Amino acid sequence: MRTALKFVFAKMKSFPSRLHPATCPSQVQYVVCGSMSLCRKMVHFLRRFAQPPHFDDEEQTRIAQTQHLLLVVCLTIALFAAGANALLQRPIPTTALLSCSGVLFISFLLLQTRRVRLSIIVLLGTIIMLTASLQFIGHGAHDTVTSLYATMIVIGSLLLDRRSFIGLVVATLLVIAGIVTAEARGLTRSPYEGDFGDWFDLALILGLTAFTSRLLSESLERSRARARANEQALAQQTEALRLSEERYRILAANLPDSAVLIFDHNLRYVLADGPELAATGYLKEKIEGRTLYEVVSSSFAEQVEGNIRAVLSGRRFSAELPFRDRIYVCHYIPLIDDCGAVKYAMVLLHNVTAQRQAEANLRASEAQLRMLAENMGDAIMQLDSHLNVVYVSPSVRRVLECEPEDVAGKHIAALVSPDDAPAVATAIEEARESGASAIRVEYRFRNSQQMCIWLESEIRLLYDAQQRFEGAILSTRDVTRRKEVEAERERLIAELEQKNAELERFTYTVSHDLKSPLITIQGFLGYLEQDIRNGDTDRALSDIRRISAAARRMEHLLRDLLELSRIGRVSAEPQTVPFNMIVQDALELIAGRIAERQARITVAPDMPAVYGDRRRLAEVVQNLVDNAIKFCDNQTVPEIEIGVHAVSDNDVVFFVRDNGVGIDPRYHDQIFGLFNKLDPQSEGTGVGLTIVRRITEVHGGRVWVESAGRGAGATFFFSLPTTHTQQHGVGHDRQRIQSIAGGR
Amino acid sequence: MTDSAFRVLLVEDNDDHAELIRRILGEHQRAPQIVHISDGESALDYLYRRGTWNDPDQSPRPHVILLDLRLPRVDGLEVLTSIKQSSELRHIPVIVLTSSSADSDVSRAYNAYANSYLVKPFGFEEFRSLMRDVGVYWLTHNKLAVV
Repeated sequence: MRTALKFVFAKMKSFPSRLHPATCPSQVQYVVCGSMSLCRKMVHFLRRFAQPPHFDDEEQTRIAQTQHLLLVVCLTIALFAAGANALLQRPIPTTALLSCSGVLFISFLLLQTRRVRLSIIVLLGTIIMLTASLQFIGHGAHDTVTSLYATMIVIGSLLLDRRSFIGLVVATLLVIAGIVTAEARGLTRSPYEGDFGDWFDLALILGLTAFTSRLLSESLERSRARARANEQALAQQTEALRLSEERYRILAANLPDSAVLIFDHNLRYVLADGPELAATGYLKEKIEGRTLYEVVSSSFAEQVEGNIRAVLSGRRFSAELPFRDRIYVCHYIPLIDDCGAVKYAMVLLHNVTAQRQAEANLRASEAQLRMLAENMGDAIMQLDSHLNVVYVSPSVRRVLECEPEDVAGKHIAALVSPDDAPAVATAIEEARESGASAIRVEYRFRNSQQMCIWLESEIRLLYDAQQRFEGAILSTRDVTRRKEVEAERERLIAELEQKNAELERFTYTVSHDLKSPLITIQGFLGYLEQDIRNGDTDRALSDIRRISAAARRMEHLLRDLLELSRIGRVSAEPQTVPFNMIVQDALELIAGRIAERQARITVAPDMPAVYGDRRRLAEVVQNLVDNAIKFCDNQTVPEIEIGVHAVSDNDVVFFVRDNGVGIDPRYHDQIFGLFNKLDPQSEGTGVGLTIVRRITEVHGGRVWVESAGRGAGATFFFSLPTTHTQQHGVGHDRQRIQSIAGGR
Repeated sequence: MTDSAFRVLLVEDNDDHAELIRRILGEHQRAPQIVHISDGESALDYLYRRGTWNDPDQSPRPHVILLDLRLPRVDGLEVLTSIKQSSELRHIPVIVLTSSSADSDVSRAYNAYANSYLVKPFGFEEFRSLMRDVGVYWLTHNKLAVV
């Protein structure tokens, strides 16, 4: 019937769905079209009508379907029976069958209007009534239709709940009892001749049938419920699995710089996803379902197979894996099922190429910084805001000659000698207050060998964004040598300035004193001419004497200057000479003058030897003795004493004492100046004591005079070296004297 | 030695130079009276009337002082400084007459309030010309303070 209906539906559909005269070429065709449309609507209605109703409850739907099928069958049988009855003249009245069909149709309608229970009751009621009627008009309880009760009970066991079913069975038994009773009373068409034993048999059979069919029905129901539960559980599991995979995929697809691969025991990709997969040129669609060897090169597959196998055997570990130009950190994780067996191997790959590169760069940069810090000439220190050392470079060993551990953690003041600490602290404090970025300080420091060294630190002050002092970086170097050189330079500059001033005085004096005789000569030459013209012979002679004296004086000046310039020039190699020999040399040179004034000269015996130029040293003694005689009253016999005043490790102080006119203490320094004469009338140019001073200085010694004043005599002291260590100065002065001589 | 005579104190260590100056100034129509002293210490003794010069009659105030810078014992500059620091002597014109033409000497002399600075020339005519001019200016034209 369904097939037939389907065929009709198909034909209906081929007709146009809407009726419109325009679409119909003729009136006939229009009528046909209209009829077909009506038929189609009817078929549609019938189709809906022919189908059992659908309920949300699956059990209800099943019962409705079974009921529907039964009704269709019963209705068909009833109609067929009614037709057959009418033709065959059977004892069952056709009207009864037709009314039975009517009741069945009512039941059908009730079913279609979703009153399933009522429909069942009507159906079963109808069957009971029909059967009872047939029994009544037939052979009573012995009629064959009695078996319909069994059919009805089977139907009831399928469609009714337990209580209704029991009710049905009881009602059936009561109806049969009624039939039997009626039979016994002879109310039926064929009177019953038996007893109630048959009823018991029937009741027993029907009861057994009811019990068995109910048992079967309920067992079937339970199986079905179980199957349904299983199905639901499966559906839930499937959904859970789907969600789980979805989550994996979402996770895998969104893990930055990562990829997730899941392998089964055949090394087949179960899942492959993640940004890194696409970045390396793989498509998950082309990977999933294929094996490792089908996707990557066999050499690479061999390389990683061991690891995957290890995961599949239950190990969990991480390893680094280079792939092409990238470096991955792979986390190998076994995925374990409910039974505790490893089902899959998961490999979580994380691209660490950039990280490794950054690490390598950092290491290189660190190494470079370390190398710089360790090999810098300066010691680098970092101070915190309290001026404590928080970092110190290894070069501190070289610069400060102490271990970095000795310095780290200390306050900056501990690194500065106590003498300089306040100055350094003040400098840093002032720089902080003024917000200066860098200062430079010099200070002393006592290293581990307790040697005092000079350090120079360039201090760079660090401030944060709010201009708060954060700390400082110190770059420290040893400037001891520079300090020494600076001190030496200062000393040399001072010495040079002194020598320069001396040279200036010398030049000035020389030019002045050499000019004087020339002015005299020129002046008196002029007068000489005048005198000759005037015939003034006396004045002419006087003028000539003056001119002559001036010329002589000029000669002496030049001679003495020459003598002065020669001092320091090598006349002989310096040697160690007993001082008595030098005195003897000197006295021989002025023996004439000594004899002339009958001077008494006392020389101390066994005076120490001195180191120097023997001839020059004799000049010293000669000049001093000569002066002593010269500045002695003509009425007094000169008494001169030569001896040793003091002896030290390196030099000896000698003296020459006289009983002469003495020297006012005001002029004790002046007398050693070039051409300085206290008495303008005295003989000589005033260069003698200058020569004495120069020679002693060239030998590294000095000369001075002591005298209480006029008439008290004078004592000249001079120091001379005993060893050649002091000779160091001679060379310098020698050069200097030569340069003065050359300069003129 | 009369009050009307124009007195010049010549402080000069070189006797020959002193003689030259004396001769040239002596040629002036109003020949001055020249007191020659050859060292700085004696010059100060004369001016402050000390030692051998303690008799004011023997050491009358000069009208003009001719002063050499390079002198024995006490330097000419010291003498000048002393004169210019003395309220009794500072009105006396001091003419520095020296062989040095060094700038340092010139400025030092003026800084010590020298009234004039003259350098001794080499030639005879030049020397005589200079000294005549000195005579004309200081003896004739220049007006001195009356004490």
